[in-house]
Amino acid sequence: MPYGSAVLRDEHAADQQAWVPPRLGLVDANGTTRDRLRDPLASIGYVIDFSTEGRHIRFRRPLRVEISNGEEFAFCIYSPTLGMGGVGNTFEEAAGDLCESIWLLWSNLRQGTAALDESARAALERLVAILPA
Amino acid sequence: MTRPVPARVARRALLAKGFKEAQGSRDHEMFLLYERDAKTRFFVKLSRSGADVRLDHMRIMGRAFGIRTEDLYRVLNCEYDAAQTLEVWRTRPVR
Repeated sequence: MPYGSAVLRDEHAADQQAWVPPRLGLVDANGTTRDRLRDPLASIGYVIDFSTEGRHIRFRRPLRVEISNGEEFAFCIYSPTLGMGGVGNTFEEAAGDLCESIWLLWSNLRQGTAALDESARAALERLVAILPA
Repeated sequence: MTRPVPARVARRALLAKGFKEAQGSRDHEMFLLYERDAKTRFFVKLSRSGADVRLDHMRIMGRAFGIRTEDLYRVLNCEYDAAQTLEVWRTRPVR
């Protein structure tokens, strides 16, 4: 599976102790690995890992995301595997939004004593399959 | 017609329509829909600093949950009551 790593801008370094943007693998519509996505149209990206709350999380396999342009945000990304998406003014922001959602949903479905309905059980199974133990 | 929904309106609507506040993050509040005391995977994340829930956010959430953007807008904008909100979730075409 083609993917590469991107060097991320760190625009808010002083404010990022709890949140580090995800590391990204990007390929363009022709399957060519790129360091940074400049033309998001009809593109596919792979999110490799991210850090949050002092933990570094590396997906068991790169998470494939579909990338499109939004009207208000420059980037909308969607993971068909997980049925989850993110938005942002940069690709890194959108991926960060997605990864934060993944982490929060996983955390919330695992904790507490409330039962999970069918949709939540299925979502948790998908998350467990891609997140490390 | 859908338009951005003020976050304070969305927060109030969610808590009145069967969602419960869940563990969030430094940047976001998280609300999970419960059905008969069971958690569903239908969640809404609201930015702690954002004034509105924007249309792109609603569209991506709608796609993620198999719900029409118009229906999600009506949930967030408090046009649907709790029963209608649950019906939107139960009758979603994509599961």
